[in-house]
Amino acid sequence: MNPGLPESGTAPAPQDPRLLATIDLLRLSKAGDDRARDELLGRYLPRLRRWASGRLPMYARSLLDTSDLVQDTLLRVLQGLDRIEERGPGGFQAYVRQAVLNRIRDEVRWAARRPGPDEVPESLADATPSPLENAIGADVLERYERGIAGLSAEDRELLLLRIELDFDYAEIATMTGRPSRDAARMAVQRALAKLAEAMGHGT
Amino acid sequence: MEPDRDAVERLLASVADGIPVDWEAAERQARPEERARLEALRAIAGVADFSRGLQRGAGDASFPERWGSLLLLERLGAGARADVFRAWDPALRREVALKLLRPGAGGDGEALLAEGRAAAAIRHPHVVTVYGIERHDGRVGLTMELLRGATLEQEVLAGGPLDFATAARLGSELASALGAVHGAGLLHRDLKPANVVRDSEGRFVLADFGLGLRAEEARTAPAASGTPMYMAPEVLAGGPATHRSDVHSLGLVLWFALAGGHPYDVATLPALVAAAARGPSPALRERRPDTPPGLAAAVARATAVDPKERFAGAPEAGIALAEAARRIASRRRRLARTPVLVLATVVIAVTAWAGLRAWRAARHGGSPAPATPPAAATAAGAYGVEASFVRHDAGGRELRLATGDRVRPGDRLSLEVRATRPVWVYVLDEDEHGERFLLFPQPSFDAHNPLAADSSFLLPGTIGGKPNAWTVTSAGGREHFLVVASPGPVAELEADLGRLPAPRAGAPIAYATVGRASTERLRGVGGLAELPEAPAVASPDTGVFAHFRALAGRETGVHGIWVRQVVLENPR
Repeated sequence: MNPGLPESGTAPAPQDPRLLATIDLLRLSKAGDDRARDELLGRYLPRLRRWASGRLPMYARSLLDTSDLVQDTLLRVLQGLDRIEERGPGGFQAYVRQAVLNRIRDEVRWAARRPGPDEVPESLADATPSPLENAIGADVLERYERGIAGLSAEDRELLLLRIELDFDYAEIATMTGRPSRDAARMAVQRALAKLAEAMGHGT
Repeated sequence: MEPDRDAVERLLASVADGIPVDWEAAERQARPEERARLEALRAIAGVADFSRGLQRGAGDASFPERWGSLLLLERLGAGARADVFRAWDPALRREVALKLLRPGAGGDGEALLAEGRAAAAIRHPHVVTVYGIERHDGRVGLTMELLRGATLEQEVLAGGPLDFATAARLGSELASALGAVHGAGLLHRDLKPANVVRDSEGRFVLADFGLGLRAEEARTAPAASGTPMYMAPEVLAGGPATHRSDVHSLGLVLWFALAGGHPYDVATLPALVAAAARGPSPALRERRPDTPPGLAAAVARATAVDPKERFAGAPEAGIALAEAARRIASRRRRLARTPVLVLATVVIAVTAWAGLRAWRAARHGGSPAPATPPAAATAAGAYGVEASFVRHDAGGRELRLATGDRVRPGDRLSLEVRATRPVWVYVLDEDEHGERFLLFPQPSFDAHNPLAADSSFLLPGTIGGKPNAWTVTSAGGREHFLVVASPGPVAELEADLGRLPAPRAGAPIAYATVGRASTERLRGVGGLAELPEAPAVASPDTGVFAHFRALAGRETGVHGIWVRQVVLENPR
């Protein structure tokens, strides 16, 4: 057994927040548990910031430093937890991901309109690819996003954690309340198969 | 049919686990119904690779977010002294490769800067373009063209040894690249399959300057700091690197590409030093017996243990390898024959050597060149010739081809020809190396010269009673054909034909190489004068195409040798 993993998806309290599933942390945070809220921030913020850096066009990357849109978005989501919990497993990650993507779009447009020496025309701003688009191509990214959007929240969470945020299987097992690393791995592979199927049909 | 579930599961697991996948091989093996899903998985793997680079790079001291003005996106590789990143240059709005030396990686910073500047002066199609070298935050970095493609090491390990033509081209291109590096006053010192990239256009590119070192400093530099498996024996023994030691590495890279492995099966460095002192064993032709002799000899000479027995430098190696490539290409005829079930009946264009002479005279503003009468050009009076290439498609239809039309590998071609008097017809093909071959006549063909008057012939015609056609077997830019008709045999071409071995039943057709004497003779009558794509003419009436038009459909006006060049586009 991996000592870092919970024996089951339901974590007994009191317990080290680092060993709790995300859904349990959300419940505790909603009840006012600051440790749970800090754990959620610590768990997601660094990786989401790096994730966002791949989604921001180069000229807008300074937004991550100047206004830290990811931290701001994450805090706002945590303050409005009532809306999220009811979405069930995976709802939190999907909600945060979409909220950050929306915020990125807003901020990029704002940055494009902002006068200054680094001003980028709005038309160019819209057409300027993010590093991720540069890496895989805008068409491929669009297909991927469409495929992701069509999955269940649970599958979306698994793929976000593994494919986009690069959590290892042990961490994913903890965060999604699965009994073992292998169970998390199998779940990720199943979600991946569904995504490939959805994208394959979309071509 | 059920898809191979194990293969699909393995791919899913690899993508999920972040294990690199050979997508080209997977696509080759995939069933058609699996392709869309495979393509989707590849796209997902792209997202995963990119994200992993972002996530793992951050917070890692060896993967800074920025270096100078560059934004680092992904680590492409890591060596003993440096990391290579994919980076974004916001000023120029392009992705670049950044080779960033690790702090404390050794080496004199100023020497490296000087070396980088020398490398940046190299402009060569087979050497990665170095944009510049700078120092930021105490770290020296080299910005280079970002190459997209597999390394030679990846390609050979995944797909096996290269075919001979590709290997010879690899050798020729790398020798040329190495010559450029040496010409800039540098030594490479770390030439290896992992440092050679085959880009999306198929070009082999020397992708890294490795431990490049200025040649004049090599005598005092510490030896043996490259990749041991590709080092020359004298360098392994502690001697200095030289042009000839780089040539030895080139030879070992070729050995690897041709044999699919390294010549020394050793596990330790002392064992490698001892083995290298004896030279590659087994010899390349023991590992791959059908290696063409010229190519095997070039590799053997490049990898000679004694530096004095090697090529003196990269240019000499390049000449030998280019010659090997040329010979291989000559053997692999771009036109082969395969059975054809249909016959064509259509025809076109006509010109006359007399007309060409008149055109050349008009173009050069002088009187007709005093061309030596060709050996066969007996004054036989006027006659008419019609000739046209036709393509047979899969549906049994024939399509008439004219200069500029496109052909593709697999296309089957015939020449329809008809003359108003008995003629000797010769069909020549020029390959990409400028070598010319006689496609017709052939001893094994049923049709023989002279072709009877007033009858349509489809060449190559039948072989043993079975209809045949020439088949385009590879893509190569352009197919140059020359059709020659003459009232009598053209002595030079007949001599070329006479050098062919006697045909044997079941043996492949050997096409005669057309010698310089023959082509010079034809040049004398204007036959090999390059026909311009859009002829530069003094007036529409004096252009060569005007002559074609004037002669087409007319049964008179053709004297002596008749020549028609047809250029078909055959893009890669």
